[in-house]
Amino acid sequence: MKFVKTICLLCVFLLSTAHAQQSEIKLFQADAYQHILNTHKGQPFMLVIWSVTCSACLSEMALIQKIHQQNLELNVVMLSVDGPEYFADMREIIEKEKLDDVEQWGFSEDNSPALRYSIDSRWYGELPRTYFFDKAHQRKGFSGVLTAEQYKLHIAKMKSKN
Amino acid sequence: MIYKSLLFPLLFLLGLLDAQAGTVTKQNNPPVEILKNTLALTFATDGTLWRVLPGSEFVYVDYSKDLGLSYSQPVKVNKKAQKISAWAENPPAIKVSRTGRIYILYYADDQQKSTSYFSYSDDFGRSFSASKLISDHAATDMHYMDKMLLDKQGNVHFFWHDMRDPDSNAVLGAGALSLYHAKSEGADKRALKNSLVSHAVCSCCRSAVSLSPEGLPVILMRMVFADGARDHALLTQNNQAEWSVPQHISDDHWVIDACPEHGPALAIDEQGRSHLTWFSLGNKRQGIFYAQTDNYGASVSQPMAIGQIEFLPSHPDVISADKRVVLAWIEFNGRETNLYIRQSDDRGNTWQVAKKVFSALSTAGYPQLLAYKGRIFISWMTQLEGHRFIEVSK
Repeated sequence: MKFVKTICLLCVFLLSTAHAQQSEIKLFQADAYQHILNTHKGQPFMLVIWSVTCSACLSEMALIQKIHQQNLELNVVMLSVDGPEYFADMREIIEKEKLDDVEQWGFSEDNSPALRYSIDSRWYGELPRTYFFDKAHQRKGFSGVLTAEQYKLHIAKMKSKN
Repeated sequence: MIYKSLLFPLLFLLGLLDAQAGTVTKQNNPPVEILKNTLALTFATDGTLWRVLPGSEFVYVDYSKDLGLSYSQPVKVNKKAQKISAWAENPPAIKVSRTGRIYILYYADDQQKSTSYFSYSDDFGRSFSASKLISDHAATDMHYMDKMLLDKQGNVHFFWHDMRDPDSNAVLGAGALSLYHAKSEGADKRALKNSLVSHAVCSCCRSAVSLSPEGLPVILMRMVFADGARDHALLTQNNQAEWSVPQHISDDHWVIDACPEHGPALAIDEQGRSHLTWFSLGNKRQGIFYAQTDNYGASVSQPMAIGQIEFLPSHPDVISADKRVVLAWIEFNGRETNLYIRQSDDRGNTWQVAKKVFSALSTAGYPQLLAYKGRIFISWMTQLEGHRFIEVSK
């Protein structure tokens, strides 16, 4: 029984992963934060955390798209705290906002406190939440919608630090 | 498409395996796969404990005659399948009137996501009325986070977040909307008359409602003030059904354009003292807090911090019964979520130390406190551990 269950779980995982790759939304699991840091080792990057039910997050999508287009060399990573049951809604928003060429992640479990904790043990979950990482991956985190000027300032600081 | 044709049979097979193997670990689980741990409960005047159980396509109701040790077979509320919607900040609700009418509030995706519906039963939960829309703008404007309240005359009140007035809220940022109210009187079958309570309400934080000793609704809600602060205010209704000017109950000064997803809680005791609890990350204080007011916010006690700030205390509830007041909240220590309570025997003037009640290794819902004839109970639903319900001893 246990063997059958393990095989089934493996198949579900592989199929889900295949689907996630197809839709370009990666599953954010317990080790995903470290994976993102490793992927962007030695590079500054911006992590934007959002949700499909967060009106404040949706209001700044256009600005993030503009920043992305104006700074194509800038690594932007977007992470939704919504679980896989919301990935279709996420995909709709990502495509509508023309952010489908940005690295996209979604929580493997909807709004999981453990996954939030894996990113930041002091974060209560308020959204949007944005982190600016410099080359050494020293980070600054901010809650709430940022203005274009604030993005410009923090991106400049993030790039200038060695 | 191939992945779908393989994935669903596999998930079905896994479900069967779990059903056989999971009876021990899931013994507290309700008979329905609950959406996001959002079941809700209430006591009827005869002591029957009623639950509303939101599943993926149907909402169910069951009851317990032995304070939660066992429950009846669940009964469907909505007759046709709907895409039921619920999340921790937007749970369904159940109330039972003195005459035994059972009211259900739930949400389902329709022309708008998470549209609000209500239904009732006049035969002790054996059958439910056809579900009825609450908002008269349901087709065109998103509305959610309803609170349901029964008054002393047996009328049912609904208070909800409504996006129908964008022009009145736009200046306050993306996360502001309006609070609307409707009242259904007796067996009135007509459409509910919707009326505005207030603009400038934080879109992502559910409001709290309670009845004053005079039987009038009182609302505690997170508002968006002109300076951008998302702080809390208390509103009361007078005998002419007019709403007071919002009374600012805390000077936290949390200036942010964000979705905190963290609404307040309110309980009013028989002498008219309002017990308030809320969350803030303001300039002046951060965490969850308790305060009290004897005049609906004209003057408010100094906020008392609750919980261990290093473990992110969150989502507090409060209840009063006679002179007792109980607070409940959850904390996450990186591995498990713990549910704590603190209680007062003198209307919130002095407090016992915090006590851990439950722990969970899985995703948790919010704690819900209930009172029945001077006794206080706590309900908590978590993914793996199931539904737990106990009396809070003195």
